[in-house]
Amino acid sequence: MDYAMCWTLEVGGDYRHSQASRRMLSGVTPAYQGTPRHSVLRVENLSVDFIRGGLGLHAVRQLSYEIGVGEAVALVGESGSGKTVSALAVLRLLPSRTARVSATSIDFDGNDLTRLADSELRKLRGYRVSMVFQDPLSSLNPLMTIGQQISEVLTTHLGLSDSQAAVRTQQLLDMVGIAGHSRRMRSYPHEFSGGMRQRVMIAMALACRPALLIADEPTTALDVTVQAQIMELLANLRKEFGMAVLLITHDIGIVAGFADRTLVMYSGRLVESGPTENVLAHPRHPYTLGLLRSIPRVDRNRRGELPSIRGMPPNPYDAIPGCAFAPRCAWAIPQCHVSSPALEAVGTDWAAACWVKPNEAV
Amino acid sequence: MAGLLIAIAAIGIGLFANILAPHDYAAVDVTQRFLPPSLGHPFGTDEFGRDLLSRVIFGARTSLIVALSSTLVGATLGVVLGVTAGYFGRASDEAIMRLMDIMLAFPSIVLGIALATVLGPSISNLALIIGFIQIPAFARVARSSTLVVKAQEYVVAARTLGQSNAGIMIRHVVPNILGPLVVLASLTVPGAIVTEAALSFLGLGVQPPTPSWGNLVFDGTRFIYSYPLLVALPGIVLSIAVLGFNLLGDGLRDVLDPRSRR
Amino acid sequence: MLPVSEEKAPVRAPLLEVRNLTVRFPLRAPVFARGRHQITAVDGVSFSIHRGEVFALVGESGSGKTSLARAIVWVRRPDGGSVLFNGVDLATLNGKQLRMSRRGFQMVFQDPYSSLDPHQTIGRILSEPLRVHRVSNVRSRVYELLTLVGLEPAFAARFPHEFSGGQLQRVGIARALALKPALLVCDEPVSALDVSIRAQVINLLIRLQRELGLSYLLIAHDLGIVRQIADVTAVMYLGKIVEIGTNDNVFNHSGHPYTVALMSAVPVPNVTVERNRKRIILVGEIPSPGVTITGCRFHTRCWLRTRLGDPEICTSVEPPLEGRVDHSIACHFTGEVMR
Repeated sequence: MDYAMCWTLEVGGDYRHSQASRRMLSGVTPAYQGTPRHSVLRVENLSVDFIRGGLGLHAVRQLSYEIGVGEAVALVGESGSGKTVSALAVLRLLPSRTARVSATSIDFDGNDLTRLADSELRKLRGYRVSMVFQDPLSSLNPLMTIGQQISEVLTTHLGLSDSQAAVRTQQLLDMVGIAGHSRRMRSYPHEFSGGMRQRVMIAMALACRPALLIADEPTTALDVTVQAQIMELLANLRKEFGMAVLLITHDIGIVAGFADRTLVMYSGRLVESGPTENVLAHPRHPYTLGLLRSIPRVDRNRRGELPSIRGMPPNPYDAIPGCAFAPRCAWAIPQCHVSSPALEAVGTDWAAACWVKPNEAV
Repeated sequence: MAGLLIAIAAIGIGLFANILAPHDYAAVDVTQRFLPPSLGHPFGTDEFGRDLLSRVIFGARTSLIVALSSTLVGATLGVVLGVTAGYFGRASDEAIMRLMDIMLAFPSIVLGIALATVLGPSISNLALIIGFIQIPAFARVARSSTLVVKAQEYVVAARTLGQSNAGIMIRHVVPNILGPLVVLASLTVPGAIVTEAALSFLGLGVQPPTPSWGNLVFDGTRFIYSYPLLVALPGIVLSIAVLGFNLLGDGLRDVLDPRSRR
Repeated sequence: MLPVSEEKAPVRAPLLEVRNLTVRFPLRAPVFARGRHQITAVDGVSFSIHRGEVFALVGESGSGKTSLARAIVWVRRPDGGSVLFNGVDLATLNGKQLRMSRRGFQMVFQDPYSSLDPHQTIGRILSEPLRVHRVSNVRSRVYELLTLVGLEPAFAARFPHEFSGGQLQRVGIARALALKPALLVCDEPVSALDVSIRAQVINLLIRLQRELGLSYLLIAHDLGIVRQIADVTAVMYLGKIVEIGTNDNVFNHSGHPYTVALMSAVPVPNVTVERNRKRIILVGEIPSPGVTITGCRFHTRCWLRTRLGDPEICTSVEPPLEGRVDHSIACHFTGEVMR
């Protein structure tokens, strides 16, 4: 767990993790909740409540998921669905004063994060698991040059000397496609465009070759052509490093070209999870289906009104007895308003939390 | 909360001075000079035998009238200038804000003395003078808040609807910048009380026999060695009132500013 | 733009005509150097919108589309060119005439939270245009407007913070409709909304357009939405239109390398489609408008230029926007794009 290992990995190439991931990707995908997969992150029964002014807000309820070594998983949901909160809760980054987090277990890379001491967890963050956020400008220090900020990660986490860090910083900038190092390293964040800043954030996140990268809406603030660049960069780096990526996004469009598996959240719960191909083409939860049908597509000559989901997402303060989506659901049966459905397997490694599970193509 | 209570108490004392005061503040009785505090005269009497408590209570009325009306004058003019500067920008902004800078370049007390000398001492002049001194502070806050509001799309929306500039300023800009201005006003009141006291102390403010907290302290200083209570009692009341309005301002800032809200 | 409407009424002037519109901004510079340093956000843009037409303007941030919209609704005077509404040049109008003219074109904003005054009730917000233009029966008109956009009349007494983004955007649309305009300028009307709400608002816009016979100038970066609802689409890059035409032409027969790249960059939520698509990933980002670019303004990022072996003409001659009435393209090698 010292810098030497990280360094050899970097110089000698991606042997350990990428081999494991190659096995994962080529081999048979394990069945849902069946044989334990070789996972980098395994979350069981995660719940997060916020206490505000005496009111309890259930942000995340009973969330369980797993990310295999080297696997790309997308966590899709609208604002308020709990997708970001659940990721922050895993890394214990929520304010302890207002957030109540509970989980049966959170296993990351062989550590149980629910039991790990704060100091130990701090060592893991930025080292074995790192994050990239939506707004790179507010995540970068405006008073430090890009070079200084990347070097800082290297010197603090890996204990590199200044000259070693400088060399490594150049390699990292190369890797994320920022040319003209010496000038770029002396630039300040405000001199960079949004896309460039996101590249810098990715370089910093990958500085220690993490086993898991959590990317929270990494392209939401960017233009489509730049979004395409960043998504391609992330996909390439993932293959190169053999790292797992948890992509948190509201845009179900960008997951198709990126994620092996897709998890869909609604109102704090996981409503569907499965191979991206299946979830996008033939979703079994009405919310996923409605969402996909309501998106106007650039590859189709379709005119006029869109099939839309009626109503609004529920107020997170309201306690809903049955399925949270039932009031908006076109398939709802009386049972849906009474009891909340659990995730049920609908195929290999594929599950949906719905009493009806409509069987229709998008 | 404490600030609010003190401020309300101070204003209440000023409003109901004639009911609350046990004696006539101007009743001279040379046989009763420099009496120590007693049941009949809780604060004692001054060098003319006037009841000090009654003078402090009526002083509250004078001081608060000056402080509140000057703040109203300063706030009104400052907001008009600041909103105009912020909303129109360019030349009018430059002109107005440079004028404010010039006013700020003079120490306020010097400016006050100069104006008071020219206009002559009276309660209404005092309110105008102190209000005038406060203009730049209000203008600056109003201008910077206006710049923020002006960038909001509802202002653009109002323009596309054909709303006039005056209409936009009155209907959209002013209501949205009121929060910081109310805070500033409550923080300005204690400053105005102190300025009034200072000018009265220099003999340029409220003229005897009308009491104000300022001239009570001033008159008392002549007997500071022989009878210190004449300075101390009005001084303490003045300090408590100033503290109260300051606390009220801080409290209002917390209530009105969403950034400081928990 | 649309040949169809011209066949029916050849003499009728377009509802909105934009001629050679230019918008410049001063760069932050020392006082003595002011006026010399300017960036041109909109650089000589011309197009027209006919009655009942949905005209979409597509571009990324920095393309000048928002500056163009603000100049068209005359909240910012253009630095060159003219805007003609119903054949009348807005620059020639006095204050009163302009106010009257404004009733005909209204705007819907991107951010419903910032475009509604937080200190006013929904009723007051909706009555503002009516009061400014001295329309009678304000109260019943406000209720009518709320119903028109699918909200309850009782909402009039409530404040914006009590509503969700989608509901507020409906209020924004209702306000724009208060004066019964012929043209709505919609600047990214759904991009600030949650995904499941977007389709509802798009459908509302489609329905209103049909029922009230409105014309839209739709400004959007989301090509999916544009393809779904626009009749005519113009693609902007660095302040200029690089491709304009009927929706079918622009989407199915794209003639500008930027349009092609933009379309290929829009993700499609289907793994099979995504796998089999031809993807063009542009290098770099849209240059800052302060930088002077000679020749074609897209040449620094153009994939076609690279493929053709850097023809000299791309860096020396700016290609004019030319073609047929239903499809014009500003590219020297548009024939190569189509292949």
